[in-house]
Amino acid sequence: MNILDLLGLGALMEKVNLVILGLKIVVLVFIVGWVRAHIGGGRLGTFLMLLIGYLVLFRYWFLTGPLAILYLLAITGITGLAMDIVFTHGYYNPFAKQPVNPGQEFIQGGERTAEYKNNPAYGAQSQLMQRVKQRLIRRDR
Amino acid sequence: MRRGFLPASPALALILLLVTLGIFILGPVIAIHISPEIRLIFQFIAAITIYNWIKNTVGPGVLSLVISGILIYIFVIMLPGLTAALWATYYIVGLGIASMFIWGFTLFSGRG
Repeated sequence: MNILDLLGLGALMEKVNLVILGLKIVVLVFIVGWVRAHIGGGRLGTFLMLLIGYLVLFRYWFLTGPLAILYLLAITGITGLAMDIVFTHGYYNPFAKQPVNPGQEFIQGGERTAEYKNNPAYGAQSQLMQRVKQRLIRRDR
Repeated sequence: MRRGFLPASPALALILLLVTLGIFILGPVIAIHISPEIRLIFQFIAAITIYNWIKNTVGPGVLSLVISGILIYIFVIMLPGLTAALWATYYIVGLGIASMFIWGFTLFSGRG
């Protein structure tokens, strides 16, 4: 038994249409819920349900299908999970430079390493500190 | 300077993260394939969840019964494994357990 059989997707290509049908019905549920909440279940509401359902599920499904998948991912929080991974740099990047440790000078006997000095952030930081110092001296005068 | 607890490549931590998520997601799938009782209980829970969701979204009536019947037939009877995997993923993300995994991953990979 392979992983696709375990997931119930053994005959994958036969069941893809079934999954797409299920997705279309889920989108239909969202449409019906939205129309009923905003317009109501009268004649106008039914007409709008049919019209939006036809446009979304059949006419422009090539566009609304991927958007529906993205919407489902967003409301279930899976995109938020991906954002968390990116913001915490959880992905593995073998070409990324190791971050310079700001406290390295104290560890290595008061000398800043060449890697620290060559870091552009160090130059910007020291320039900023110089400006702050000059401003403080001017203020004191 | 490498920080964190794992004296190895961050790729190993990523593999550990994926394996842990895989175990959590595939656990219910394997369980419903091993035991018919667990499968029945899961199908019952999934059917009630789908019906409640449809009833809250569409409103009580014949339409919600028809739509929930179709969805239950597709997702609970025809594709129970896929539904179990999606259910586990939804709960892992919704309860914030995945954030705990990411925190552990960043801690072990020396990036936290």
